[in-house]
Amino acid sequence: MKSKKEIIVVFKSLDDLSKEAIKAIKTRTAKVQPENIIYFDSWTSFRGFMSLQKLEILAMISSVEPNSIYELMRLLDRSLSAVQKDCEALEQVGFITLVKKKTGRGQVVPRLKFNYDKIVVKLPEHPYELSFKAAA
Amino acid sequence: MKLIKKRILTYDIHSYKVCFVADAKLIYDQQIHFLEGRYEVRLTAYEVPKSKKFPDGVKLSCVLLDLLQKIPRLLLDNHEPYGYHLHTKMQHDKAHRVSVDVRDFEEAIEYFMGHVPRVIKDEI
Repeated sequence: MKSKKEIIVVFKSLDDLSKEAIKAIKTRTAKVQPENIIYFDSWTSFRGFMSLQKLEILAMISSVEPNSIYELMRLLDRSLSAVQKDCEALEQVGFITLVKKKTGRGQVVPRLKFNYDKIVVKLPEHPYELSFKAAA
Repeated sequence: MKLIKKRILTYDIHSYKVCFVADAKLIYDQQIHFLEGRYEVRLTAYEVPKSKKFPDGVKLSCVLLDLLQKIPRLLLDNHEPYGYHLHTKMQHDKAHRVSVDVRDFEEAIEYFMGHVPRVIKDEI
C-alpha cells in the first residue's frame, strides 16, 4: 500500500512574507518553501480558488490516475476546456503537475504533485488573513 | 533541505528569467497566491559574493505573476549596471526598466510589496 502524505494550505499576508524574507536574508538563514506547503494570502482567496470542481479533479486524479486530460474530462463529464483550465490553475498553484507524454500527440498526463491524500487547511492566525483587502 | 553552493546557477520564474551567478546559495524562496489564486507573488534571494555587481551580497528577485493570463505583471531584481530596478512592462518590453531609489534589499522588498496592491487595484 502506498504511503500517503498531506498537503498543507497556510495563510500568510504579503506583509508577513516581506518581513520573513528580510529576516531570512539578513541572518542568511535558508528558508525554502517545502513542496507540501501552499501559501494563500487569505481564507477568501483559498475558498474562491478551491471550487468543488477542482476538488473533484484532485479526487479523480488520486483515485483513477487518468492518462490524459481528455480521459479526466470523460470521467468527470465536463467540457474539455473547463477541465483543462482547472488543471492549469491547480498546476500553477502547486496541487498537481501536468506531465507531457513524449510519445503520441503530446498528451498531458495530470498527476498529483506528490502522493498525498489529505489537504490540511491551517486556521488563520490573524483576522487580516481572512481577505486580501484587509491584508493589502 | 540540503543547500549546496553551485558554481553556476540557473533559475527560472515560470520561464521568464534565466540568470547565471557564480557561487550562489539559495537563501529564500517562497510564493503566495492571492485573489482566488489568480496572482502569485514569488520572492527569491540568493547569497552571492559581495562585489560591485551585488554590493549587499544578495541577488534578489521579486515577481508578481498573473496566472490567468500567464504573464509577469511586475518584476523587481538587481544586477549590474542598474542596481535594484523594476520591470513594469514585462509583457511587451522585457528590457524596459524603471530605476528604484532604494539602498538595499530590505527597502527593495518593501518597495515591491507596496507596489503590488497598486498594480492589481482594478481586481481588488
